[in-house]
Amino acid sequence: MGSKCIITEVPNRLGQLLRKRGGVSRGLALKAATMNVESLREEFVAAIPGEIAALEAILTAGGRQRITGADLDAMLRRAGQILTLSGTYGFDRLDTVVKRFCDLVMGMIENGVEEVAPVSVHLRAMRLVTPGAAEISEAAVAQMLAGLASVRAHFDRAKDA
Amino acid sequence: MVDHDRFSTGIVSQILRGFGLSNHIIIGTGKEAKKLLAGGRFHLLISESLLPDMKLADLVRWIRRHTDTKIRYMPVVVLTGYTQFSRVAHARDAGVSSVVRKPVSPTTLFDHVLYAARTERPFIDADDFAGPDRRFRPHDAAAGLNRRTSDHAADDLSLPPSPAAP
Repeated sequence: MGSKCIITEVPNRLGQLLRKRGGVSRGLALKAATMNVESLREEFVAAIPGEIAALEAILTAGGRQRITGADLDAMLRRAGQILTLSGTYGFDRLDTVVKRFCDLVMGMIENGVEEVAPVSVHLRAMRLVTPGAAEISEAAVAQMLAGLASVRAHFDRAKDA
Repeated sequence: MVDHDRFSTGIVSQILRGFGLSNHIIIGTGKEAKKLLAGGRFHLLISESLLPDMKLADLVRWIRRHTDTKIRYMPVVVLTGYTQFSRVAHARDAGVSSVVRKPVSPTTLFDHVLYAARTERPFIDADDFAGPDRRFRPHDAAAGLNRRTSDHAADDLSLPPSPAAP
């Protein structure tokens, strides 16, 4: 017996709602939305160091030597919140470092790596580029990113060996 | 909006307010979403792809198989983080309307909401899929002979126009 497939033309209730009289133009809507997002900047940017501290707390809980997959997963979720902030408010360096962190952690979860050191190095790098930290040069940032890449490469090689 | 990331919900909430969509509810779990949807009247669901208590695909399947058509046909926009972006195929297969990468900007969200509002996509109800027709480009539904793009080099293969600004 063949499988059934019913195709229904459905009323677009959201469209009906938005077609009602009144409202604002696209330009005004975007301008208002952007201003509203900016109104959160001070509060949300101030929260970034606390988010990094939360990651550090997961890593150092109980003075551990190894970290579990569940904890790495929790760190990924938390790091996602930092990416929301760094991406929204334009902290490109922090964004890059947190994405490197996420790449590392996803690889660790996938390969069952439980070592604390590579995670710790990435968290220290986050601190260096967090808003409010001392300004560092482009060259220093490039050097730091190269260092993070070599840490990642080391664990990738270990996995492949 | 379903998301446990307080920063994301704060930002999206302010974006929606800017659009004049002040009447929205923010919750953190799929279970709360089901309860609210079943008891309320909503026009749009925006959900993070990673829910703390259930798989997004399960929530979307619940919506797409619901007996109340106001729930079943509701547009579902999924926000996905950096670590989840490559893993949203299951959500698409479950019947979401569109997927947006976080962090979401006002322009991106505006375009996706407007697209959901202005696009008449038929609803497909099959044994293994229920949701908006994913072949939303007119040339996707190629039929018959000569289906390859190279057979129609001179044809207009452009995408449908973006929703016009109001």
